[in-house]
Amino acid sequence: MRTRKNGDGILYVVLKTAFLLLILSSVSLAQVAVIVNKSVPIKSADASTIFDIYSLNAKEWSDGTPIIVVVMKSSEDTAQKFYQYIGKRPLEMKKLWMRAQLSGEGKAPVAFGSDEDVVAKVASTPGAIGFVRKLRADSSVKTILIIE
Amino acid sequence: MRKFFLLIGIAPVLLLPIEACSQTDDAGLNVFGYFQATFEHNASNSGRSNRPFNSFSLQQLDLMASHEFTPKISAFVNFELTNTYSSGKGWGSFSIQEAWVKYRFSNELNAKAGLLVPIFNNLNEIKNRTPLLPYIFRPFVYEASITDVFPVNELVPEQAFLQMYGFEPIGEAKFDYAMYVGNGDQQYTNASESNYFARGADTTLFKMVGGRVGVQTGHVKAGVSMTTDKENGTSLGLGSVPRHRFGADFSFEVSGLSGEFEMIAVHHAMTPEQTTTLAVVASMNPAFGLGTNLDKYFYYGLLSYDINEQFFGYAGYNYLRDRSLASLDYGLQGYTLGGGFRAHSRVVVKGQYMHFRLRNNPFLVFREDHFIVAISVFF
Repeated sequence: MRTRKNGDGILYVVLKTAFLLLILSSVSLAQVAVIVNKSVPIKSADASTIFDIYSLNAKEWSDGTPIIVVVMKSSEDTAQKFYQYIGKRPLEMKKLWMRAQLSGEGKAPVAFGSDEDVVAKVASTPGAIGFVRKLRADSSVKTILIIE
Repeated sequence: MRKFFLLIGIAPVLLLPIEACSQTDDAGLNVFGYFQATFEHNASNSGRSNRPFNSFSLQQLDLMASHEFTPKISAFVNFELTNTYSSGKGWGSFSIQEAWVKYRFSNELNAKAGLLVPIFNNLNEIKNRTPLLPYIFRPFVYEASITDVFPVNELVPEQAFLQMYGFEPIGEAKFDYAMYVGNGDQQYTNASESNYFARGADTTLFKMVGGRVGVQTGHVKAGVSMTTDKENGTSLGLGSVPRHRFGADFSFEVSGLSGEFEMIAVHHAMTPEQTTTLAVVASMNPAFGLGTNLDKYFYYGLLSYDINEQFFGYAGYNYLRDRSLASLDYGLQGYTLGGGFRAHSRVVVKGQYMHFRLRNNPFLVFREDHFIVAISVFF
């Protein structure tokens, strides 16, 4: 009887730990990191700044380097969470970029399909900014904002 | 006053910082464009046609190129071909819509020089960008394929050659402005052999100046616009007639539901002598169908809804009253209903039903019903 109780206790602890790990893991996966190329002269940014950049209103960093906007395909959860954070739907952003390009005011950003591709592009392009799952933001880029 | 606007407009271009011109950063040439091909069924028994007809057409093809020399200096060109253009068969038209260079001082101040479409209300600058528009057949004064029926340039400024514009964020709101200068009535610069309009006339005193001020906050945008120039009334014995265009626009987008509304009033400041002359010309030439003055009014409203990322629907109304033509003095109404499917972010299949009719005109019955499907491609 006692053994069964101990067994139940161990099972309970294992299940609880697994559950907590799962929760922690999903929280980390859900977090979005806004990343920039290491040469970009900022350490952090707020939603307003990020929106100005992604709406193509901001064209250059404070040191004059052109801002290169990198995006993830809107079907990805990361993209959905990012656009929700800046207060726009993916479709609204696409219309905004198309209008900017067709008016000669900017160029629609190229969309990538995976975190790895976005990180690689941002890491290799001076002035680039992008967003990925927090877990995928490695040391090759600089993280300036975490979206919970 | 106009010289003042001209000086204000030109000064920043003349004062371009030298170091900006010496930068060599090169982002490359970006070539892109779009086209919209249509199939139309006109089910009308009255109006322009006395029998129903069906027709395929390449409504519009635009080729564009932009080049960003530096983050501050860029150039843009736009060539437009309409109505299945063919020089051999005499179909459609080919035109250079825009060719300008832009210098960006800051978000608050940008300068464009060259041939450009000026900012007037919300739609004018993008009226020919079919991938941005949910409908196929645009509101009367913006439809590029029927400029011979409704002269667009009389209601909105089609061209300018120098424009200053920018925006200033204040709190949650963003205030924007634009001011520009261009030639006045295009009829003054008509160089054809026609003896109907004066050709090659000196437009030194007939420049068009205009602008827009607006505000954007959250998902709402509104503004007022104005231009002033002179219309060529030579053919009617009126000489030049001061013309003022007034516009107002309002648009919003909330949770997939968007609306846009515009009004335009074109007022001609005719002298009593000009009014009398127009009345005499109208009475002596009843076949011309002239109205009592030259003023024009236009109203437009559209509600659209993105059902999801792929499907959308819309309904709209537009109204045009042209007091210079007796037939249009009663007003022309247009109702529209349609929807579309985004097969790809750059490929859209559209469908539209339109109903046009002259409003309360006791002398002329004009009703047209059109069904159009189109494919719009942005490449």
